[in-house]
Amino acid sequence: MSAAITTRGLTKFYEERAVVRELDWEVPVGAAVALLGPNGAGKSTTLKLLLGFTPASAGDVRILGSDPWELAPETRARIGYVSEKPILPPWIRVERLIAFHASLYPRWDRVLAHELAATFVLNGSRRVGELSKGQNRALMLLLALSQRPELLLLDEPASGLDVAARRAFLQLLADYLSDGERTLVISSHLLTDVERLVSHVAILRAGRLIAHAPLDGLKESIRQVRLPIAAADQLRANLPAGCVLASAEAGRSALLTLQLDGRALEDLLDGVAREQVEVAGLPLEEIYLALVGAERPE
Amino acid sequence: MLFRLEPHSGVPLYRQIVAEVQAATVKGMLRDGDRLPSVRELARSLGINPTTVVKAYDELARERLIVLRHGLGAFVTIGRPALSSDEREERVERLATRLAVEGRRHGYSESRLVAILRRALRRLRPGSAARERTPS
Repeated sequence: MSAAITTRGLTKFYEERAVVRELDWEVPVGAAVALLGPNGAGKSTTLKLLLGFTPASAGDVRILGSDPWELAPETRARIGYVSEKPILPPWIRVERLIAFHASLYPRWDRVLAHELAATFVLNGSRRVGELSKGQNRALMLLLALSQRPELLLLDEPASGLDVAARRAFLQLLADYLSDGERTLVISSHLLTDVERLVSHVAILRAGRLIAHAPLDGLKESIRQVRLPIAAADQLRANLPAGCVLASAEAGRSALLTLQLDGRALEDLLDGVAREQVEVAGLPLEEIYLALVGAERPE
Repeated sequence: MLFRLEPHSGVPLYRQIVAEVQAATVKGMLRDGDRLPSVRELARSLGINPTTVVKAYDELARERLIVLRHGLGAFVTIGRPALSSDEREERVERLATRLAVEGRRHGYSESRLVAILRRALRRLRPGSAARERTPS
């Protein structure tokens, strides 16, 4: 499978501070990736580096096969982007802005733009500056989706959307992904939303990529095991290095968060009295916290 | 056909879809020859990634619970040999072990566990009171 995005050693300094560090990352065509990380981990900067909105201090980026600094307008038109901050001019009327974008993008989908304006209840005669925060996000999504991109980069797109608009937004993204080989990178704090949609999860911590894996694989390999402390000690002794993401003890039982192949865990638990052991999979939010919190050598 | 998914859980969504279809065929809510929603329809209605639906349908096709007919969709095929007899036995055996472990943990006697299993089997019988509504 070819890559929609490749970075090698991508690094960005703001003055003395490294915001993105030696990022080696590859997003395959057709993947839907959640880009996660604590505030300040470098998510927005990474997206800007991919688009060439800010120069890299070191390293390479390839986006749809090109250097972002040498993107031909035709290639740029195949990339949709919604920035974290509202960047639309406040004085322009919504319908004028939509018409302007329609003239810029050769694959502009008038029908879709019309539908989205209705879905998000956007009044064309309003000025951008008069829109609510959620409507401003919705307008940016409308503009990015109606250009019919092959690669969509969304930076906190759903913040400010109300519950109904968020559900509509998820359905739009499901539609977008159904339309052939479409690639999505979405940074979001709304993990329960992205959990439905994404195929992969990438996690940044302090500018470094600490995980990039298929979501199903993470759900099948990261498990929480509750067992008596004595049995936990016995289990720990047999575990491969680095697979304990977190551990806690309460009363006479221990709670271990482990990352290892499901069958390997079954084998390791063979020696332990099974009626004393509980094994549970984790939702994305817990997986994220376990990976971000894990003290592992980098 | 209704799919009830719990995205916020430790079970991958494609596995949940597989389990829903399996359950629906066992309960008679899906019959031989029924058509499942298209990948696009299902992805949209659930707001999930279409590749998740593709993965689930592939898995169901591998288990011979459905057949994929190009351009036409996915159709339920009940009553054909699915897994090899060894595989089937291994599956049931594994679940039986879980049932036994869970029962022991709660201090259930052997006869009580057997009674629970009997009750579950009775619920699957067509026309039983506990049977779920048939799809419209």
